[in-house]
Amino acid sequence: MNIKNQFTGLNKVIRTTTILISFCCGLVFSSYAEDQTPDLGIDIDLMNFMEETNDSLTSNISLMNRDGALEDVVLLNELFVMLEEHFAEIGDYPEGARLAKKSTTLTAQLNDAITTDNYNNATKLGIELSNACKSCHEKFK
Amino acid sequence: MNKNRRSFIKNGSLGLGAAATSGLMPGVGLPGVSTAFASELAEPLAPKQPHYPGKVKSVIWLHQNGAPSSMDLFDRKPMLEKMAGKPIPPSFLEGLTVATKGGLGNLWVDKNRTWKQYGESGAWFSDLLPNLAKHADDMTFIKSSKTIGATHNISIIKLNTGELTPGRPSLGAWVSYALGSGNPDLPSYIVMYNRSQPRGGPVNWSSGFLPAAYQGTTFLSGSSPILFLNRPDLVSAAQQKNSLELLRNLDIKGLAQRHSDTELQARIRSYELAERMQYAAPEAVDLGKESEATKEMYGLNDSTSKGYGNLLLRARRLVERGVKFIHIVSGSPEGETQVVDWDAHSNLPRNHGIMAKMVDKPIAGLLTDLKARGLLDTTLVVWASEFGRTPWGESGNGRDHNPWGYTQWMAGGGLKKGFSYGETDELGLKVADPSFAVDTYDIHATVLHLLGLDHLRTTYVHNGRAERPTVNFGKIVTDILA
Ligand code: HEC
Repeated sequence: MNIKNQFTGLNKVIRTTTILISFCCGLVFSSYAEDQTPDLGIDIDLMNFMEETNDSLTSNISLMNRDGALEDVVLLNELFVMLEEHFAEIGDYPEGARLAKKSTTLTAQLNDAITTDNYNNATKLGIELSNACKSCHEKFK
Repeated sequence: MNKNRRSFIKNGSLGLGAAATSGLMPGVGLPGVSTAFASELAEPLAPKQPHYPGKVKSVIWLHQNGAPSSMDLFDRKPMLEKMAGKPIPPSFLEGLTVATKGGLGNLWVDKNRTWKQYGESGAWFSDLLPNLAKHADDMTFIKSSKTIGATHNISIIKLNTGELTPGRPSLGAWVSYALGSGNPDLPSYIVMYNRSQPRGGPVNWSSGFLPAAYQGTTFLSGSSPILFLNRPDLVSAAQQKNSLELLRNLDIKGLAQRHSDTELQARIRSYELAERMQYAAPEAVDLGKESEATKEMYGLNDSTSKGYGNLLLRARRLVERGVKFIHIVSGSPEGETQVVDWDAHSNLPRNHGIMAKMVDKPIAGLLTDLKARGLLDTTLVVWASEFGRTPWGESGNGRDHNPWGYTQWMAGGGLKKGFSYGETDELGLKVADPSFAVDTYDIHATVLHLLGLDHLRTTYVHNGRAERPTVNFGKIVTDILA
C-alpha cells in the first residue's frame, strides 16, 4: 500500500493537517539526490496529494460539481501557498517561486470561476494550472 | 477505500482486467457528461454522433516506433552542419536536465546527408525520403513537438494514452468509445505492425478503464488477419451458428445477474462480431484485387518496403470500409536482423537508411492513393513518434533520445496543407518558443477535434471520476487548422 492510498482514505481536514506536518518535516528527511536536479526539500507526499486533488478538481469541473470543485480548489490554494512560502524560505530559485505564485493566483481565479458557475473558464484555468505543474517539473523534478 | 486512478494503476490492474473489475459508474443526473448507459452497453459499437461535424471520418495513426531523427528527415539545421564535431554550447542546454543514458557527445551530422526543398511550400526533406517529399504540399508539419520521458516504454505509452504509466485508454479506444463503429462487420479500432510490437505492447491499444469492447483489435499479416478467426474445417457453418447461439443464451443469463460485467458483454459481442468478421476481415485485407500499379505504388515490389507497404495498403482498404482508427506501428523489414526499429543509438546512417526506405514509398503511396480516391479530405494521416533524437552524437555516429523538440506531421482533412508550425532551436534540440510547444495531449485534442469530438466533453466516469482523453491537459493546435 502506498502512502497516497493512506491519505486518500482519510478525510480532507485530517489529510491537510498530516500533510502540513509531514511537509515541515520534509526538509529534515529529504536526502540529497546525486543527479543534476537540485534537491529543493519538497515533500513527495505533498506533491502526490496535490496531484490527487488536481485530478479530482478536473473531474469535478467536468461534472460541474460545484461543491466538490470548490473544496478541491480551496485545498489546492492552501497547498500552493505552502509551496510559495517554501520557495521564499529556500531562496535561490526565482523560477520555482514564480511558478508557485502563478499557481496560487490560478487557484484564486479558479475559485471565482467556479463560484460564478463559469465552467468553460474553469476548464481553461484548470488546464493552465496543470501546465504550471508541468513547467515546474520540467525545471526541477 | 477510494481507489484513485494512479493507485489503481500501481496495484497492477491493467487492460481487460481493469475494465472488468472497475465496472461502470453511470453519471445519471450529472450535467455535461456523456457516460455509458444501458443502450450503449447493449451495443457499445453502435455509431454515435460527434459533438460537431468532423472534418475527417478515419484516422491512420502511423507510430514510427523507436523514434526517428527529425534532424535527419525534416528539420534541417545549417548550424548543426557548421558546428559538427564541436561540443554543444552550454546556452542550448539551459533548463534541461540531460538524463539520457548516452551522455553528452559532440554535435554530429552524417556527412553524406543532402537536403532539398520541395513543392510550393518549400518544405525541406533529406535524401532519405525522396518519395514522401513529393507530398510536401499535402503535409502539415508540427516542428515544435515535445514530450516527457527519456525511455521508449514510458514515452510510447504517453504517445498513445496520455499517461506515463500503463492503464489509461489509448487514443484509438477513446475514438472507438465516442464514435462507435463505421462498419458493423469490422472492429472500429484496428492495430497492425510489421514483425514487431512496440515496447509495452498491448497497453498501447488498451481500452484502459473504458469497457473492453473499445480496445484495439490486432490484425495479423496473413490472409486470415484475426487469430483463430477461421472456422475449423470440421465445423460446418450451421454447427457454428448453433453453438454461438447457445453460448449467447448462456452468457445473457449470466449477464442478467451481473449488469456491469463489461468483459462478459465484450465476449458475447466479440463472438458475434467474430462470426461476421470471418467473412469481412479476410476480404478487407485481401489485396488480390488491387492492381499491380497500386502494389508498386505502396512499395510491395521491394523487399525492404514490402511488409510495411502491405499494412498501409490494408489501411486504405479499412478506411474505405469505415474503420475509424487504424493504428500502425512501424517494425522492421522482412529478413532484416540488425535493425529492429528507428532507435539509432549507433550507426544512424545504416539504421535510418533502412527504416526510411521501409516507410518512404509506402507512406507516399498511401497519400497518393487516398488523394486519387478522394479519401484524403476525410482521412487524417498522422506521423507520430515517442520522441526525436539529439543533435549530439552517440557511439560516434548514432543519436540519443530527445523529448525536448522534434517533428511530427499530419496530412488530411481540415488542415492547412503545405504548412509548418513551430520550430526547434538552431541545433534542433529544444522547442524554440515554449508557447508553440505541442505535447502529446495537444496532438490528441487536435485529432479528436478533426473527428468532431471536443476532448473536454469526451468523458467517461470511472470510480466516480470524470476522465477524459487528455488527462488534465490538452490544447487544440488551432493554427494548423484550415
Ligand atoms: C513550483 C514548483 C512546482 C509546482 C508548481 C508543482 N510541483 Fe510537483 N513537484 C515539484 C518538485 C520539485 C518535485 C520533485 C520532488 C522530489 O523529487 O524531491 C515534484 C514532484 C511531483 C510529483 C512526483 C511525486 C513522486 O512520487 O515522484 C507529483 C505527482 C507532483 N509533483 C504533482 C504536482 C501537481 C499535480 C502539481 C500542480 C497541481 C504540481 N506538482 C505543481 C515542484 C512543483
